[in-house]
Amino acid sequence: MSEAEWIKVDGLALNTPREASIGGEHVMLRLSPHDVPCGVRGSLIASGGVEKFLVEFRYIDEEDWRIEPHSEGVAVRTGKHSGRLFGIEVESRMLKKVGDSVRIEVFTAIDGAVQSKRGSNSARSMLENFMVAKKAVESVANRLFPSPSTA
Amino acid sequence: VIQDGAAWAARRIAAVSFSAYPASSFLGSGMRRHGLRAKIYPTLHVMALTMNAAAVLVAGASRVDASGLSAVPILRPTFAAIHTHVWWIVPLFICLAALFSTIRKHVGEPWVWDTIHHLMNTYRDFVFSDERNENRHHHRVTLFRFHRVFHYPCFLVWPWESRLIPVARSGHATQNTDTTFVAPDDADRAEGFAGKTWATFSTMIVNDLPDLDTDSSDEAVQFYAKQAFFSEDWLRRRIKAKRINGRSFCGIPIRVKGREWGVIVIDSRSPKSIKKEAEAHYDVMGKVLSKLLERV
Repeated sequence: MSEAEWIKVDGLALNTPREASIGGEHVMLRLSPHDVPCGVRGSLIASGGVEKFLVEFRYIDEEDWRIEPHSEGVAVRTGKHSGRLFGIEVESRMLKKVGDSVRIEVFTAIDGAVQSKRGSNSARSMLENFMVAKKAVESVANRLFPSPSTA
Repeated sequence: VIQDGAAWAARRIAAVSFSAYPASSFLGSGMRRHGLRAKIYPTLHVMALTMNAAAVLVAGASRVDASGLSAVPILRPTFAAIHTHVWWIVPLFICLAALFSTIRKHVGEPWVWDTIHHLMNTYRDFVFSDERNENRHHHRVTLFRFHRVFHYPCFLVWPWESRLIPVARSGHATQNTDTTFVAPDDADRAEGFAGKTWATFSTMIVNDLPDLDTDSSDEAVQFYAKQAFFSEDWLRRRIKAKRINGRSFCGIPIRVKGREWGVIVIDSRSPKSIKKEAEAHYDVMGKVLSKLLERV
C-alpha cells in the first residue's frame, strides 16, 4: 500500500491566540509552532489483520509515538514525550460506508480524545494541541477524505 | 598577555554588574567560543582515540611473556611493570577515553554550531526584512538552551537554579552577553521574557515598550518591567549602565524530538518590528534547527 502524501496546513491560521494572565499582566499566548501540526494525511492501513483508516499529523520536530486505545475500534497515537496527537486509527468495521461516514467517525474520535484530555490533568498546551489538530483536519477535510461519489 | 588578561578581567567585572544573576557571569559565554570549539573538538577526538589505542596496547603487552625478551634486555623491566600495573592502567585509559568523548559531545560539533548561527542570521533577515538597512545588532535572534540545576554549568554557580542560557545569537556583535534567566520547576518564579516563554511554553509577542533611559519616569520603568517580565532592579541597573533595552520581543518555545529544549527570543529596538508572521518564518527554519539540535 503506497503512502499518502502529506497535505500542508496553515499552522499560523489555526493557531489562534488566547488571553492569559501572568503575574497579573494580561498577555496573548499562542501555541508553540512545535505543537501545531504542519501536515496531515489520511490512508487505509492494515494492522494485525485489521483494516483501519488512519489520520496522521506531522510536526516541525520528529518524535516517537505510542498507541493508546481510546474507544471501541478507535486508537490514538500520542507523542512519547510531548503527548501531542500524532494520529487517529479508526477500524474499518466502525465505518458503515466511505465518504462522510469516515469524516464523521474521525471527527467523533478526535472530539472524544479532546474530551478525555479535558477531563484529565494533561497540560493545557496538549489539550490545545488536540483542538488545533482537529481544526487542521477540518481545514483539509475535502482532500483528506474520499468523497462518496468517487468511492 | 598580562594587558589582555587585565582587559578581559575588567570586562568580566563590568559584565557581572549587568547580569540578571551576577554569579552566572560566565554562563552565557558559550556563544563567543566558536573559534575555541573548533580547536577543542578535534583535539578531544584525538585524545580519546589515543587513550583507547593505549588501553589496547597495554592490554596486549600484558599478555607478552617477558622471559622471551632476553635479546632486548631493556624491554624486560618495561613489560614487567606493565604486568604489575595493568589492572589499573587499562581501566584508567578507558575512563579517560570516555571522559574525553563526553566532553567532546558536550562541546558539540563545530559545523553544527556554525550552521545554527547561520540559521539565526537567516531567520533574523526574514523577520526583520523591513529593517535590513539598520544596524544588525538592533534586531536580534537569540537561542537559549534550558539547563537543569544539576547539569553543567548550572551546578557551578550560586544560586543553584535551572536556567536558560544563551548558546547562539544572530550577527557578529553583542555576542558577549552574560544574561541568563532562571527557569525553575516552580514556573511562577521564571524570570525575564525568555523565562516566561519557557514557563508557559507558548509563543508570546510584546511590542510598544517604552524607550528607557536615565531620564525615564518610574512609571515607564515599572510598565516595561511588567510587560517584559524583568525585575525592576535588574532593569534599573541596565539603565544606569546606559545599556539599550529592546522595545519589542517575541519568544518561541522549542522542542527537540518532542522534549522541551529551550526558547528562541527575538528582540528589536523598534517598537513595532515583530509581527505574528515571525512564526510563519520559523516553520521553515524550525525543521532544520530541530534536526541540528538533536546533535548537541
